[in-house]
Amino acid sequence: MTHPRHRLNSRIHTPVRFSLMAALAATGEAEFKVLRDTLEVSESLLSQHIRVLEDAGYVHVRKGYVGKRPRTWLSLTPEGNAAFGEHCAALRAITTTSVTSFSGQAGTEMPAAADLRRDGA
Amino acid sequence: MMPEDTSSMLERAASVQARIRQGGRWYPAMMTVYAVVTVALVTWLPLVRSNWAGVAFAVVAVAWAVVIFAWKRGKGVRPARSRDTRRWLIPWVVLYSTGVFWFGPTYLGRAVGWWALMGVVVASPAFVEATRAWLRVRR
Repeated sequence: MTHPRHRLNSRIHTPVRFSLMAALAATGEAEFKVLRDTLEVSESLLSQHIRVLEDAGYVHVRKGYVGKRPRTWLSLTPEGNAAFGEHCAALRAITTTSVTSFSGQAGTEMPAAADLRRDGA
Repeated sequence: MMPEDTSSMLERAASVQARIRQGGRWYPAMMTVYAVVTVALVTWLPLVRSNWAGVAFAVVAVAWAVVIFAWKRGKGVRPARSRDTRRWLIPWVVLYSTGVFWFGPTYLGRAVGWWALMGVVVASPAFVEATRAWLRVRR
């Protein structure tokens, strides 16, 4: 099993969860409503995905208050940070593989993937 | 998975990261202001020569702490978690306590210039944190 797709993490590899992990990797912690607006998803859908990542041990959820208003804060755990890094490495390996390896047709190399940063604490 | 789908995912994620980082740019600015105010407060200390000046100093220091705490609470993106704050706050407290309660009164007298220099040293953990935060959010 040498193809990089075998290194993809199925718990991260959905568009919403991957973007959520990317958002949390870019900062210390972010508030639920900010993530909802940034990812452009509904609160119920975001909550579902957060639950999956929390159960996997990748995301830490903290409840707090700003005045009398409840707030939910999310951050990546060290395991989540590591899992996200490995998943990104697998994605980059896929995108830098020549198209000719998949289709057998003459083609050009895919452009290098966006350089996602992991802002570990 | 085709490489172009993967590239799209990576590009969308990079876009999300850029937006989140932009939301966190308040933090290095706040830390810079915090460090500068630390220098100003420490520099002011040798000029406190009366009870009223002491009261004014205490009021300003407490008011400053309350304002900054209330202001940052409303921010939706926090580049530093609460436990990350200890990384700079503990050294700051140690330097401040040592400088203001022992070193300054013992060795600096009322030389404002030397107190200002000590203020820079006391503020250095906050300056370092501000620099670190700027490097994280600059993209």
